[in-house]
Amino acid sequence: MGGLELALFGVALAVFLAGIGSAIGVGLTAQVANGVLSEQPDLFGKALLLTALPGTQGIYGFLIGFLVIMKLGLIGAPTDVPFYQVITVGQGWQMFASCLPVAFAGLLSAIHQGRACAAGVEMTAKQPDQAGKALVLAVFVEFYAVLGLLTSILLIFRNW
Amino acid sequence: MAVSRLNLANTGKHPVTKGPDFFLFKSDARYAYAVGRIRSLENRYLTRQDIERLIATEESEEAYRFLVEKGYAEGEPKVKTWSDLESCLRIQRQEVLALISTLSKDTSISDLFRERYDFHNLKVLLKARYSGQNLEHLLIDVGTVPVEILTEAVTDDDYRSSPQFISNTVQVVNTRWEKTNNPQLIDILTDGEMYKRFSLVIRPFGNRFLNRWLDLEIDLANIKTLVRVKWLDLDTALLTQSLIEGGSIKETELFPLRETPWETVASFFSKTRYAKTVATGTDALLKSDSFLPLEKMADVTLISYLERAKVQSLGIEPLVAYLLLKEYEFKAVRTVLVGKANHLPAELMRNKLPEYP
Repeated sequence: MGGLELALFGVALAVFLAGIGSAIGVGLTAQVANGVLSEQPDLFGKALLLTALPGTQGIYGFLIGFLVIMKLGLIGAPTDVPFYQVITVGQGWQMFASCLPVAFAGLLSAIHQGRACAAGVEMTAKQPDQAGKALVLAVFVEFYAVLGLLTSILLIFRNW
Repeated sequence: MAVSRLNLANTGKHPVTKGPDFFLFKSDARYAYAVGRIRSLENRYLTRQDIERLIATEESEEAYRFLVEKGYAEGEPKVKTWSDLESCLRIQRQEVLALISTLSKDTSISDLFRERYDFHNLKVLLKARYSGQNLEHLLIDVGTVPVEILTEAVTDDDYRSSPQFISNTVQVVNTRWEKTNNPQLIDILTDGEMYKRFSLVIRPFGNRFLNRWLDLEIDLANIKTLVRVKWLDLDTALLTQSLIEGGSIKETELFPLRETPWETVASFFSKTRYAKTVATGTDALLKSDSFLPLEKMADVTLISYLERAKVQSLGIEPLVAYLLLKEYEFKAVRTVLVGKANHLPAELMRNKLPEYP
């Protein structure tokens, strides 16, 4: 396996794992939200925010995938010697490792954020005025996905 | 000595010791939609102010409008008397049970709570058969076996079309009835068979919350029986027949309390979660000769336990808790409706009110 393949494997992991986490998190919250909305349809706006929140990890994963592809020179303005043509196996491993923080932090934080948001929707059903507090608490989980994203970005844009 | 044995029992197969909710609940994402819906419905529990307002209503039509406004089923189109309002309660109970059956992913558990009414109806029908009275008004047609079919089965003494647990219960009651002719035993034996059925389904299901709830139900039923037999100085044999197996406190630990002073009874339970229930209940019994405080304290213990399901965001627990807490509410509403139908004064109705969430 060459450096390019390793880097692209990293891209795939970042997008797949963070995406899977978001799909689970959003799916879980949406199910609870549907249950609440079947009795209190007026809470749609508040439930929507909480349902959308675990979806951000999937976007972070996609962003990292996109940045790695850009870095490799597979898309964007053509250069004399694109990186993907000269990338070594060692650099491929490094690129692969750069994708891991967002992949795993995204996967796990999205699932747990989904649970926090699901509980938040339940709380909103009982006390609609307190939806903001539920959102703030769920955002704490987001912090760790953001750390994963930042670490991946820093690793991708280091001096190669 | 007795207390140490009890503590040993509490650490056994089905512990009832207090513990953090984290260990009590197990998340089950299959119930996401169901819990969301139940959380919305929990907003519609009748409050104490609502019950007070119901007590204050003058006319049955006004009470009917109030109940409908609070989310109760519309019931019969023409509500003229207080008794007519019971149709709202019946339909509401049917709706709640149907909703729980629809939302539940574990039909064995949701069916079990409908089977409760099969046992109730069987008890009523057997009492009616042995006493020759007409007790039709006490039947509640929300069980797994329609009331007509169960009535026919009891009348013909042919249970081939009924579930196994019905024929087993009838066999147990009939055998004992032939020996004793004691009508009190119909209640006791039917309840005993019901809890056996509950244990048979709930224990293998492996849900801690439900296991502990069943422990509480059986223990509290046994405590009430013990106190009643002791206070009324009834035959010890009756206690032997009445105590239900399967709780966290073994029957063998309860039997000796029949002969001990009341202080020993309170001290026996002092290290358990039933300490306050027993202390308050027996104190009131000794002072005022009334079982009502013990009954109320037992209900408070069960209600406060069921209310712990509020912290569980995903799982069957909120469904079961909603169903059971709603039952307490129905009991309270029914007490008011019966009181109104019998022109009872408001204060007496308040005294008779059972505990509710």
